[in-house]
Amino acid sequence: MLSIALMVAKDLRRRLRAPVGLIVMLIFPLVFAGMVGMAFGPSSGSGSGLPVVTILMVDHDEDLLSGVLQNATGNEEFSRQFDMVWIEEEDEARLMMENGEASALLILPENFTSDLLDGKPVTLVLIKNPAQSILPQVVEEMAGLLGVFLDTSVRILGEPLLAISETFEGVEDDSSLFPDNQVLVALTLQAAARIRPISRYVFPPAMVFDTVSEDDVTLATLLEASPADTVDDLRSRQAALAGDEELSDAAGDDDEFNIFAVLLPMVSLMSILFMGDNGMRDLLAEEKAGTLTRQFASPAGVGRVLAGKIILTLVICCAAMLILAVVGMALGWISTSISLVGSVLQVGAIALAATGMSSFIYGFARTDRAAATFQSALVMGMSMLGGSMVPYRQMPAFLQAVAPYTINYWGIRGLTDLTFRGLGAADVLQEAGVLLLIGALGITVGWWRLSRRYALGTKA
Amino acid sequence: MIRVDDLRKNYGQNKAVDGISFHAGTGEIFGLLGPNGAGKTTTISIISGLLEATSGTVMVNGQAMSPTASTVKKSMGVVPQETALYEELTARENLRFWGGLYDMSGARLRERVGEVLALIGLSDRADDAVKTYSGGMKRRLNLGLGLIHEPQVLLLDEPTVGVDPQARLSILDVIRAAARKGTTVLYTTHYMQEAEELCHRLAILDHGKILAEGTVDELKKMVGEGEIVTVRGNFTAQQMHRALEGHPHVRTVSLEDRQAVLAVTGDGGSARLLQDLLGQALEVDGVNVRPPSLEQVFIKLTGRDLRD
Ligand SMILES: Nc1ncnc2c1ncn2[C@@H]1O[C@H](COP(=O)(O)OP(=O)(O)O)[C@@H](O)[C@H]1O
Ligand SMILES: [Mg+2]
Repeated sequence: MLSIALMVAKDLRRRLRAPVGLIVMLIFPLVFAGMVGMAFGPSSGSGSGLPVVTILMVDHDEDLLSGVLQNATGNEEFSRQFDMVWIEEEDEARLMMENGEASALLILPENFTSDLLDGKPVTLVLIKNPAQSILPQVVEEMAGLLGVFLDTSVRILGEPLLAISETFEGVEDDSSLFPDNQVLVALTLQAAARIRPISRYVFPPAMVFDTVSEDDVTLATLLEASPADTVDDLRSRQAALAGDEELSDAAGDDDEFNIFAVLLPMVSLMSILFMGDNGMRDLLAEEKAGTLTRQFASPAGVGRVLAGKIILTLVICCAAMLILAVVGMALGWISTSISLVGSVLQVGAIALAATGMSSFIYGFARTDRAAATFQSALVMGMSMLGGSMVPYRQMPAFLQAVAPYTINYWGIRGLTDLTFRGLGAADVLQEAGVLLLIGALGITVGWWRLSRRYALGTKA
Repeated sequence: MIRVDDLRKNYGQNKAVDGISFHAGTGEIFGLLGPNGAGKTTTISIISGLLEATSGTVMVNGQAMSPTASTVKKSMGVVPQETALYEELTARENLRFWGGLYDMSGARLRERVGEVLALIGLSDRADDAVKTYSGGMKRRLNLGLGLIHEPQVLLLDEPTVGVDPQARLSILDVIRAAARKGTTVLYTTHYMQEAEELCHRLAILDHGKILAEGTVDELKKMVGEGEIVTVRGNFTAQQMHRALEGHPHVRTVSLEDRQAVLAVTGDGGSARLLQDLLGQALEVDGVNVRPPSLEQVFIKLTGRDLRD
């Protein structure tokens, strides 16, 4: 028993030394829920509490990406929080900064788009207003995220983006050159094909839009909400999104409909399923490093090493859920008065289910590649069918029939019971029970396969 | 001590280990010398309980070894051929972890970690992440991890491969020190010189079989006492064969066109042989006279060079 604890402690310590992977995994659900929620929640208006952040932009690039950025930031919801001012002359912008007229100045260098697509290093210059403390930091974080996002996107989508860039060349001068739909569809498919294998790194709900039909009221339609929509319009759509009539009443009590309490469970589930990989994948990493064999040669033997990895996975999943919950509460996305016992039960059950899924996967996959493919397929499939991408109530009936076979369905159902409906432990017993069963099953199968494999000897 | 009896391991048709037996006593450094693919790693893996043998037995300190024999495993230190370390952790953390797996804890573990760090010369880098170490430092730590729990039996699989000469010397010193304290050491290598320097007794392994076993001196006697004369020149094997007739103190170790390796006994034997060869109008380009080494033993046993 002690040696298992030593192994888990050792693995956690190793992770804390190189935490980027885990941090990125934690950031994505928060950022995504934040983006979607901010754009459509009523709190994104005057009620957000934060003053409007003024950002000066200087565009020396004047190409595809800066264009996209300009369009994206011109969006009404975004501009409630951020005031993006595009300045022609860099000198003028710097002067404005010196006069303290903005929180930050972001400079897109010349050839930004083409250099990035060519894989050349590019530098975004961010100048912060020293007189302000919080706001420039917000901008810096965002610019940092933008950097990570662009870098990843280009690595993955380099070729399709290049093609898009070429397609659009000269469009401004001659509208007849605007690419026809077929070209765009082909490019989109190409991009999607690139995304699939690496979906573990790119948070995938962007793909939602492909999967919904027109007359569903879904996230997609919410995303398409026009500026002319009234707040009431939005609210009714959100209620539809949450898919429960009681919701409108529950929300009515404090007149604060909280979209995050729905969004966070949805994206968290998907993120936790991806994160379960982080523990079990260590088996392959340690196999490669030789430390797995070395542990087998120690008195601990195969059984305890496997137990150690399973417990590690469980601990990572629980910790991730805890962090998401704490951050969610700190941001006011979920209430601090939700049932503690229920939450512990449901979170533990979700963590166990994620661990079970990962054990199962590594029971069969012998390479990182195989595991990644297997896992992406499983997680993406379950997320689509189980309500992580499209809310369960918005799915067509035949898909709703499939949903209960996914971890996401039971996880989200239990979590929203707690976060959204304010129910207690007794109400999540069924969900937690199903998840525990799934977890136990996955762990059993994984254990059986792995212990058989390793008992025959690792590579000599 | 280690006793191995008629050990076999088949990978399908491939007999990686083909009926080997040997014995290594307390405080002894026993070497397994053989080229790549001879079966050294397979043998060590079976002894360390990582692989199940096809047949045969392994006894460690009088107890049978198997993949589940955890008390036996506890008395053994295993140093794998490839460095097996946690690169994100420091040397001290690595040592503490492996010590813990072998049931060490508290002050005893702390003290022993300090001792081993000093022994492998990493005290001043003990708290740096292993990924910042040089290859030689990693090799030394790899060895240190096998020593942390003061094992009675130490299994070392080519621990000096790819190591600079200084680190190599320090590794060999550490091994000698462990043996002096009574540790049984099983040491595999394909470096003959290393085997000669380090091992009390050794076995020459090729294609999964032990070809010869004994002390270095005993093995050398197999090619004869005296000197090893290597002759190179423009001659055929047949010409040389004829030229050597009537030399009772000369034995042929290997003979091919343009090169002959000969074992010569008796005082002044080498000089007499060379005079004679030159007198017979053989075209000789170069001559090398050395005391016998394991290299000749290997060539004699297998008909080929160990470096091939
Ligand atoms: N896991 C394995 N599967 C099949 N053949 C193996 C395996 N491990 C080793 N062998 C074969 O067994 C023989 C001995 O290998 P090994 O013990 O690694 O030799 P050495 O350590 O002396 O270089 C080689 O022919 C090798 O190809
Ligand atoms: Mg080997």
